[in-house]
Amino acid sequence: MTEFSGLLTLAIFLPIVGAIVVALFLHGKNARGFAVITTLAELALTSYIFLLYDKEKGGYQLVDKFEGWIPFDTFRVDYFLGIDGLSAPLVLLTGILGIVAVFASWSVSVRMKEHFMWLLVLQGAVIGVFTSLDFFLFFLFWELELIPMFFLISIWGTGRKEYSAMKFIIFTILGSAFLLIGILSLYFSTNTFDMTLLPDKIAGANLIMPASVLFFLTIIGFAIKLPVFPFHTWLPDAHTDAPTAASVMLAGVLLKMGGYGMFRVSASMFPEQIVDYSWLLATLGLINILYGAAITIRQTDLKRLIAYSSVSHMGFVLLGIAAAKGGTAELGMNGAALQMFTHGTITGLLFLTVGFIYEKAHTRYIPDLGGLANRMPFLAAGLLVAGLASLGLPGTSGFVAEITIFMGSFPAWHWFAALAAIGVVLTAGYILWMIQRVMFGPQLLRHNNLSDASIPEMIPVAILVASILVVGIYPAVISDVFNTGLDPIVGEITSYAMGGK
Amino acid sequence: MRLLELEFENFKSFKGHVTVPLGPGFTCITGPNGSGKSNITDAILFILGSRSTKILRARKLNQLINGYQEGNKKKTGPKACKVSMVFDNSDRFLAIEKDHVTFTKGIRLRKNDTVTYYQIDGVKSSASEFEALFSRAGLYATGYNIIQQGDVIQTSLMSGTEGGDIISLIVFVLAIIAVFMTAFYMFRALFMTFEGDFRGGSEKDPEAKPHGPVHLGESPFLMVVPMVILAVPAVIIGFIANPPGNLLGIEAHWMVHTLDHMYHLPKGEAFNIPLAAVSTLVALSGIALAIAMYKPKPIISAESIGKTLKPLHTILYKKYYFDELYEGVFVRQIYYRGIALASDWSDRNIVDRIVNIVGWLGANFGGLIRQFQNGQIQMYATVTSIGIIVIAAMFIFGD
Repeated sequence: MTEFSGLLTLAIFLPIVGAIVVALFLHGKNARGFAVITTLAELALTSYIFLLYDKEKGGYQLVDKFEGWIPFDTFRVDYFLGIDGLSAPLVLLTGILGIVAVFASWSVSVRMKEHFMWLLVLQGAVIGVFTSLDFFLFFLFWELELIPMFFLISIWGTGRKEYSAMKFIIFTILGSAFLLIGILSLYFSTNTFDMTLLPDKIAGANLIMPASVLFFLTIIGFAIKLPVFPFHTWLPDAHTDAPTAASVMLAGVLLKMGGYGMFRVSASMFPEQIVDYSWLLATLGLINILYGAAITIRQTDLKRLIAYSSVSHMGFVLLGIAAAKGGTAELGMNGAALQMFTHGTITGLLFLTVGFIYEKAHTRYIPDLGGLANRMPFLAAGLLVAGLASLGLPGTSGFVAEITIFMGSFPAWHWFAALAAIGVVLTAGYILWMIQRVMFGPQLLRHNNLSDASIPEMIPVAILVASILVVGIYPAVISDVFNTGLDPIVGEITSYAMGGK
Repeated sequence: MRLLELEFENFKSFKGHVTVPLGPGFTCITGPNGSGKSNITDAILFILGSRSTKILRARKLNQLINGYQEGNKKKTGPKACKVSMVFDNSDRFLAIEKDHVTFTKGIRLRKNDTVTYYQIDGVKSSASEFEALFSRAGLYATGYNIIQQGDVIQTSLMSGTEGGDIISLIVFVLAIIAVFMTAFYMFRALFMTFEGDFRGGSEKDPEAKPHGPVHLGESPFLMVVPMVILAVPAVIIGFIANPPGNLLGIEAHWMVHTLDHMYHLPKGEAFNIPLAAVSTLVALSGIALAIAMYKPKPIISAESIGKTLKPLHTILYKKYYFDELYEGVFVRQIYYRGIALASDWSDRNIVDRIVNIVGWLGANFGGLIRQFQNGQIQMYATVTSIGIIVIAAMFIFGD
């Protein structure tokens, strides 16, 4: 059976074809310009896809299915794409961050062609992850996105870039190895890679490994990606040493792939295990939040500070998923999904502004910065919006996500949620202190000739500020869509949590 | 105003129509456990306005109906209950022009819900009318007209009507001290700012930016008018909030009455003359001390008091060391140099080291095994041959 709507295939391959065009025909500034056009078209396309998604109808829409892409009888893989309420906003996020990343790389002058080629491939691969509904295809795109990121970090990065890139790729691939075992075990137990059918099939099938083992095998890969303590140590190195565009994409979408995997695989295919092990998720989430926040305040490298803050914020996602235990699973999981989207824009903006500051001031060492708001008011405003959103100021999208997570997880995990609320205070601590030391306060004389953002630098900042404020003021734009997508997952989980126990 | 009788219809344990007369004097109701004595007080609470099912010792309102069983879809059994209180109102304590007033409140079952209705002398009324009349007369469900069984001991422990307990006394003393201190510091500020010599100017302030010559003078009209607009009400607002007598249509002591009504407090005093005198005296003495210490030629100088009470002065000057405690101890020592430092250290040296060890193992594991390779073809041939023999043996002799 073949269905074909084409839009999702186009969304994946538009950037990839663009990358090929760049690789074969374009150089230097032309490559950059073409990348802008491609990502702009991609943004339009992903926005169109997002708007096309029918919340009322729900389910998987815009399906591209071509059965028997790998046609062996004993090992059949379909080319199966589709979006549902869970993936639609993440596809949109990737479209937004793609063009942001291209503008963020405006001042790259070394090996420009390759740089933009890798950025485009990365965007295509990530969209592939979010839209794949065949487990093998999902795994293929999951692995694919590692390659561009590795090159982006190791060639255009700073500091210990080769070390960080290698650490990133090997650590993540190790997780993927476990994921592969899980995927194959599931295939040989249920004879299908179809992610839409697997939840039902797993419930009835004769699994070749116990469900709990499969649950842990698959979640390890996602846990490394999210990242979850203690598998998070690749993140500070990778984020700090990556070039601005790569940091934006890494923090903005790659981490969300981990969260997306937890929803799409762990929560929907193993609802019982998610409820049973929700204590583990809550504990690790809490550690992420508090431990991450405590480490963040000690950082003197601006990018490393933001990297650890990502660790802390992803803890909130885990806490929201852990709400699966109780009757408020819907709230918690919606909050977690929303946190993924909002954190993508917020941390994207943080890395973006910090990247620009680094380009202009040539230092990320906080004691060497100060009073930059005098010289670069636009970037200061952008950093301020991002910082306030990060600490969950009402009116910004960060607040909506965090409050929903708290509302969802508190009834299920009183103490964890109460302690996690301290994390909000700690976040305010390091964010405001960072902004005060970097942007305000006395200005060092040597920064007297720094310039503010140029037009190509203002555009991505504006795009992200708009996303943060729009979702902050009217979150239903995004959260309604997530709600539709999470409905079946939450339904299964809640009926097990409330009834089956 | 006196309660004459109570009438029940299917209320809690009273099946059918029951009348409880309460004659003049003291009425005592006795009976074995569970015979319904407390239900009588519950009925009074029910009418007085208690919507709380906990006070009425029922889990849902429809449990007040006699014989009601939850979950039981009985078609028989009473579908309603009601309670009536008949009062003798010859002293017109209730704001109704009648000598006898009957208050009725009932519940009717409608499908799965309950409907509450109110009547006064058989005429339809409302909860708010009940509440208005009762509170006017000083009758509250949560006040002291009714003392429930749980509260008897607590109520009996309350001493007299004059004071309360030791806590109230402490609060009062603290409030009086606050009156003194407020008067003192306000007038200190007044005197230090407006009396004596000018001590300021930008030369004196180490952190001031050069501003130009000092020009002391009265504020412009634009600033004086708002100050007057605030100052006049500031003086008279107390008088308006708690007027001793009727003030142009505003009832005397209206705010105290409103608060009493809102919080169902027993009718308290609206204005206590000795208390007012004491607090005014205390305030005046605070002002007097401020004048004595801070007028241009002080009688007692602030410095001398500061020197004699040096430790106290230091504690107050340092704001009870709260800032040092919060910023210095909690944030800087415990959090930044303690918890955060430990977390950062452990992340870099423990968690990351473990990751790097795993990496090292991966990189060097081969090196370990490599030791067993000696590159000699002879050994490889020997091992291969032995291997073939073993496998062949397994095939021939095994399964």
